[in-house]
Amino acid sequence: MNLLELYPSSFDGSFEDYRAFMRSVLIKGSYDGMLKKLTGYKGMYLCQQPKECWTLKFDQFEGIFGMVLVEVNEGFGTFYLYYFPSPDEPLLDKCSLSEALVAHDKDYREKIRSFALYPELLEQFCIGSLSLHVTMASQSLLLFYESVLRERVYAKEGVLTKDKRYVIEPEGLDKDVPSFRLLLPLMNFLNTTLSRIATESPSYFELFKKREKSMMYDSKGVFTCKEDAPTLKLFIALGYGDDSFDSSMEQLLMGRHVEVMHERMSLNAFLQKAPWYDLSETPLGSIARACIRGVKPKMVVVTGFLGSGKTNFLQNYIEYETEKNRFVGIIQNEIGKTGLDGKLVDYDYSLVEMDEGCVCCSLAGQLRAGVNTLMSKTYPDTILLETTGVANPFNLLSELHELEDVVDLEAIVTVVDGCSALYLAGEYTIFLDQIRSADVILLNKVDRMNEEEIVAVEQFLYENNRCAKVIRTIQCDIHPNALELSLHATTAQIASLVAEEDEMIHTHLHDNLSSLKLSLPHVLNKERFESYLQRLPSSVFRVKGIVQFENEPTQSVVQYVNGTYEFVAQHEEQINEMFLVYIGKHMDKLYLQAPV
Amino acid sequence: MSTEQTTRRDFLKGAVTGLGFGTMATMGIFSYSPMRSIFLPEIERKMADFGACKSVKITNISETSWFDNATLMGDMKGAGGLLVDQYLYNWPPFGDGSGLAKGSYERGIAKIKHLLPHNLEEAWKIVKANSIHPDNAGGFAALIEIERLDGVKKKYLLDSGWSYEWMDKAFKREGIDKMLANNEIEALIISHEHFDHFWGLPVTMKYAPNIKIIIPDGFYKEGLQYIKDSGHKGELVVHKKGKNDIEPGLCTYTFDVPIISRVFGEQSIFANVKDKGLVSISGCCHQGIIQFITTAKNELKYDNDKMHGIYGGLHISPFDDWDPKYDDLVIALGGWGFDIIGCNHCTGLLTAEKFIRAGYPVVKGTAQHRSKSHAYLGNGDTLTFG
Repeated sequence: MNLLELYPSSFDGSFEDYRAFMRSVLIKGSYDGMLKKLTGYKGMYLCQQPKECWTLKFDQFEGIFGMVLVEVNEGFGTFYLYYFPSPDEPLLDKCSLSEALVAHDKDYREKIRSFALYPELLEQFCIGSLSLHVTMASQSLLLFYESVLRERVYAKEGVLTKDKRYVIEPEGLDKDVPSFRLLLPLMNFLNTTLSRIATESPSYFELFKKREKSMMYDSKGVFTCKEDAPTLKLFIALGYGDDSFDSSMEQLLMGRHVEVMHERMSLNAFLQKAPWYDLSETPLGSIARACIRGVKPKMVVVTGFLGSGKTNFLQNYIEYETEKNRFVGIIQNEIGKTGLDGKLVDYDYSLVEMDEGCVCCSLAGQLRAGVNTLMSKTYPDTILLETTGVANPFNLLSELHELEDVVDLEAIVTVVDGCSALYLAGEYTIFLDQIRSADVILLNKVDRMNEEEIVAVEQFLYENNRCAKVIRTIQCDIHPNALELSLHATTAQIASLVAEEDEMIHTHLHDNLSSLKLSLPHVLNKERFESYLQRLPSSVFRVKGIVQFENEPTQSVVQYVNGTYEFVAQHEEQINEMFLVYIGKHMDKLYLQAPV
Repeated sequence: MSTEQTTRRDFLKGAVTGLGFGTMATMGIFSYSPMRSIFLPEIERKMADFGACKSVKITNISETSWFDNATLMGDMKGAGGLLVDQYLYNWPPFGDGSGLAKGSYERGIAKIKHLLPHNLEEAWKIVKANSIHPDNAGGFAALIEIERLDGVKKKYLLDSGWSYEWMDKAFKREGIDKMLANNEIEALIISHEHFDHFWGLPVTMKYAPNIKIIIPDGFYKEGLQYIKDSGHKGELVVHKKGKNDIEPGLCTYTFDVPIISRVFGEQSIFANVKDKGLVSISGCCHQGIIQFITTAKNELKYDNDKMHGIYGGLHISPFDDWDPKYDDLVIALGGWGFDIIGCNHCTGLLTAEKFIRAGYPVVKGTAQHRSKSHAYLGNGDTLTFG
């Protein structure tokens, strides 16, 4: 194996070398988009001072995984591996009382980040260990994991509450944690990372087992062994490179009285199906194109009524993702003929505009064409599909399902303008559909509401969608990871089933919403334009556009929603066609005067 | 739920939290760990003294590393993702005409080596004909002028950009060509091996082939060969991990961090400005701002124990935090109390604008020479600390 791919710096086997080696592997692994799909990796934190320790998160696990290098001895760097359960997860009932007490500490989540500093975290919650042996001379690696199937601890005299009720009966179980099962995601991640960075499968793989006794403590804190049937200790050895690993394995197994587990055993077969063992399912970097085809971008549908803040959401999403070297593609359209929002996002990104009316009304195939255009240019990690402010996402769902071969539909995010939500609910059925179809609802503009109003809107949202996660936002500034889409994406699936049963009506026609675009060849007087906006009839719901005011150096973007408006100065270099798009009810019957 | 579970939950709810092992023992609760007890030494603040200077001036020669992010990311993703070796992309100047992800350093350099470093116009013509998206290449380079306590001024060049064409223009715009030719610049400090910071090396070589080059440990063999192939005749210094002194009040710090597209190690620059405090200068800051600043705090001694200023790409961290609330640069930067913050476009426009809204002392730019916004320091802008 080419260890330079993993760590091109000098390596002498010191404590710091082992730590730097593993730190490097973890960081490099985080650059691999495929690894996230294969292992459910969701982010990490490397605490370096004053005591170095690392924490990671994986999909499907509410708690946090931990890793710390504790010693380097005879060529092996030993890392202790941890799982810190979330205070709310059922697993905590299986942890020891002592651990559960720590997990209920209000600073627990904060302390996890630097868990090596706190003995009550460092000396509990351990689910196994990893001994790593790096041999630069033969360019080989040996990993040796140790864990127990279940870790059981009994309390001999039991534990009593103050009012003398038993929390644990005498000789009852205090701890019954499935350590090995908890270790799997972390082990899977580490092994897959190594296989993918080095672009090779392990050359050596062996499983060993050993009977292990459970422990029991008495009221004085003295621990004794207790015979217990299901407790089994497992050892997993994994080698990379040309080494035979014989002498290292001898050294590791000395005095341990272990037994080899045969290949036909289910656990063995299970592990051999893992992505780090069988690379054929997941081609590596060297076969670049094939690899790309294997990764589908995720698609997030962004809905929200006119002026709710969808563009802000897109801008923030793009910037957060770009910062982490991830790439966002956008498909958007506007009900008007001008794809104005394309100009509102001042960032380099890939955009496909679909101008043929509303996405949800356009013919099947349009969307696929948009996705294909994006994919052929840039292979985005995520595609944001921005629907128009008057789109009914239910109409989209069946078409989204047909795209499953090219994208993973992640979720529907609905942006709600908190200030106008209750008013809109009474006026537009489509607004309710947007809420009902959401997996995540962003309750936006909470800075313009008091707590009472916010609670009232939250109650209304809950009444209309009991499944969605509701998050309060200001200017839609939310980190993509904070959406926790993968945990909340069930409604998209449920809703799509509903959608397939009903013949959906293209609702925005029923609401008589339409749009009108006006070209503005001339410069405007700001004060007169403001009074013009103030006098617009209430049937005009939304005005967007680009204008040039007298005596101002740059053009401005006009944003008008339901009586309130703002002007945002453009950057100097941006000179665009000047226009206004009006959206409202019965626009065809309305006589609108152009601003002078 | 069983009654035992109910009792257990009531018990936990009623218990005082934040208890030590001692208190738990009095309740009859004990903790067992099958692992050996652990002793981890604490890392102490070293506070190494590296002297002080009077002032540092930074001239942003070019911060437009590339012109279109969608094109760049499209190439990277198309080549197989962020782990793919940058020398395989077939990007300029190592294009061999075989297409995306099929390149190699050897085949690419063979086409232009005979023209380096003196006939860069001709070399770039060949590059353009054989490379993927040659016009998207820009480059990063900055001039660092340090004024010693006795008033003597010394110049250092940080990085040499990417496109020969763009960088030569940028060097001429800021007079770097003449400074190099007159041996006014002490050394070229390369922050890391990335294409946009390092591949424009022949442009510096064209004017000063004898200049001292300082690179961080971790360069791959292609990068080391490119230094030779670019026509370098001077001294090459490799900075090992940790602090490396340059001159009184100026040092670099090498971080052993793996970076996307198979690059390893980045060195950042620290200056101690007398009576003001520490100034941190980075190219991209791939190691992440949190590590960058905490390392400075732990390793270096500086005036007033004060973080005075920061300049460069301010990436928060190379990876996602599992807790998204910590993935917020505005919060991450807030606690350090910088007097002056100079961002470049790497920071992100919205983030720079958020800094401004949060009232941070962000220095505005002039948005010229293809830099896009006033919210950060762009091409040709300068910033002086001290």
